[in-house]
Amino acid sequence: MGGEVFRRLIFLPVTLFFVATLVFLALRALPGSSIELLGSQFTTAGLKEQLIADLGLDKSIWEQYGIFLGELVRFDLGRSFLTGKDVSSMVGETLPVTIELAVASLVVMTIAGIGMGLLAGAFPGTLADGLLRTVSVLLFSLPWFWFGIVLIIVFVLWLGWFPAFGRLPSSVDYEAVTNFVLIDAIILGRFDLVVPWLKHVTLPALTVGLTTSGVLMRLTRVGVIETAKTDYIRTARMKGVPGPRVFFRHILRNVALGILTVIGVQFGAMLGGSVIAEVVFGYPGIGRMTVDAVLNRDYAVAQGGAIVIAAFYVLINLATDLSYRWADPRLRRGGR
Amino acid sequence: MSAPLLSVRGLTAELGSGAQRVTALRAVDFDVRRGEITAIVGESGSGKSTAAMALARLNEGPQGAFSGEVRFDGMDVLSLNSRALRSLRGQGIAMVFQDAAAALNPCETIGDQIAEAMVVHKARDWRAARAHAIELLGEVGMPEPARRAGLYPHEMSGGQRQRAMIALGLACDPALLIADEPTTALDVTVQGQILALLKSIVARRDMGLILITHDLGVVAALADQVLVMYAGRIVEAAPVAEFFDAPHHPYSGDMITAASVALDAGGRLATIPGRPPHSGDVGESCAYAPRCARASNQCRAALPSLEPHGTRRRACFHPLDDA
Repeated sequence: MGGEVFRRLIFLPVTLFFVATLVFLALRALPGSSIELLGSQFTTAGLKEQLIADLGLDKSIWEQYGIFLGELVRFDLGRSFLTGKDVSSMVGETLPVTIELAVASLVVMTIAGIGMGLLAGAFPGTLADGLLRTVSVLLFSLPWFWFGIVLIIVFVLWLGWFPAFGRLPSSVDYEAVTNFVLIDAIILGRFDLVVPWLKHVTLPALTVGLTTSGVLMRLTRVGVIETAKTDYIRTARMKGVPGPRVFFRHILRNVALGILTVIGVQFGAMLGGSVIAEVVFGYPGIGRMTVDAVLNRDYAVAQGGAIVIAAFYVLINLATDLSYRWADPRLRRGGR
Repeated sequence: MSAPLLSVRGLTAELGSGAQRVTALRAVDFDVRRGEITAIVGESGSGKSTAAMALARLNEGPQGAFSGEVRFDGMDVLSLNSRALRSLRGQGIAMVFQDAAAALNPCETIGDQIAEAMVVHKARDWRAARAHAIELLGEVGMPEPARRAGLYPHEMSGGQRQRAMIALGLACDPALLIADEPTTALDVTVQGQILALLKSIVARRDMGLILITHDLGVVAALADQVLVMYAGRIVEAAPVAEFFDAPHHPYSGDMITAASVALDAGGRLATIPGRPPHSGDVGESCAYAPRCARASNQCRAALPSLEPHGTRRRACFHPLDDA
């Protein structure tokens, strides 16, 4: 198993090289540049040329590419063209925000998806099953941004239960240590941060979590129905195991193995995919940072954001595979 | 003679729902005594597994309907409530399934699977149950039982898995063991060991054993009585020696001929022509008539009932002993 981890980790730089190249070329293929966006602000003659030279944009695209890769292997993501801020520190601020949101979304997805799936799978063919299946189709057919906007209209504008934008109210005074609100709340003893944060994260997490829960519900339901038909479940019933125990101990445990992979893949997708929720809810995560950077042609920030998201995606998939091996005894110890 | 351990009278089963609903068993009658091995033989789809599972109502499902009577150790099985039925399963009647690789939970160790049977019946706590599981594995001839109890099914050989399956069946000391083709998934060399094990367990524990098989060699070597099933009915029931000596039902005779690898006049392997019907499509005529060399108009017009004849019973208008 150690060897497998090593082999997979070797591929990480390869994957990242391709991602870096793709992002680099795609950004340069977009029309316009950050310099042009600044256009009207160049009052002194020569200032524009000076800036282009400072940013290295006067060099050929291949030279720029070489410099970019050279910095990348030294873990230097460069500086923002617009603000001059170090991209690594921008990532350090925004990535935890996205991870927080992704974890919260994952919790929503897991509870909603597995809960609905187990209920539908336990009573297949009933009215409840039909209703839950309809709901699941609706959930995975709804576009995230549309669902997010509906939530804002209902819960922010009509009911006024939740705030619509941001991560914490501006009235809260928060000096970040780890940038994870919950971890900081514990380290700093600032438990007053928790409730405002939960209020802000609820709607974006519901948006991402519920729209992804439909697929999980389907898989859980099918898993339960298929597992219930297996010979070993018949054996459990023949042993005299009570129905609820058959369901929770025997069926659920075997279904969980299949679900685990889906949750892992979805978690990776949430990191990248929460871009939409971050934009709709004005949530200051890495997705939104990257989108803003693309719009501003802030090459270094866009590149840095895309590469970090890709690296996380690969690492999470690796972790999923490993946890699957750990959870399934057939993979944990090889048969003889 | 003492009262039988199991007594089945007129057991009829309607299983499945909608268009798939079939009468899977029709008026099945038989007795099983302690220390006795009863073999149920027949082709695939003849209803032998269905009959066995019906004894513990394992195949009842939400829509199944059983009628007739199943008396086990004084209990009327068909009228038990779900709690009493659960208590019967494992403790009164246990089952060894055909394909142990599929019938054992892939995610739990063998020891825990055996122990759970005792724990759910509150016979023992987990600690004592695990210890007893190791003893049972020893009893069924598992080498190194203490170590093997901690293994998962995929880490064992086919023969070891089947032994574990038998140990699981014995966990709550049942009075009746049903073995559904316990050796079909195994190598020939291992088959003999497993069958010998079952025979010795039945003798030692004074249990009843119902052995479901399509292997007549196994029947001849092991069984005390034979039940031949065809299309959901028993067509012949006989003590084993008399059965092989002189089968009465033409189907029994054709089966024995086919099994003995005899060549017919044309030098080909003897087979029974045609295919067995589904239990569901049988009307009020002899189900074997379309394949039977002795069939007459009477066979196609009426259903022969299972009548006693000396030490055996048979359901045929033209049995083989009528010249």
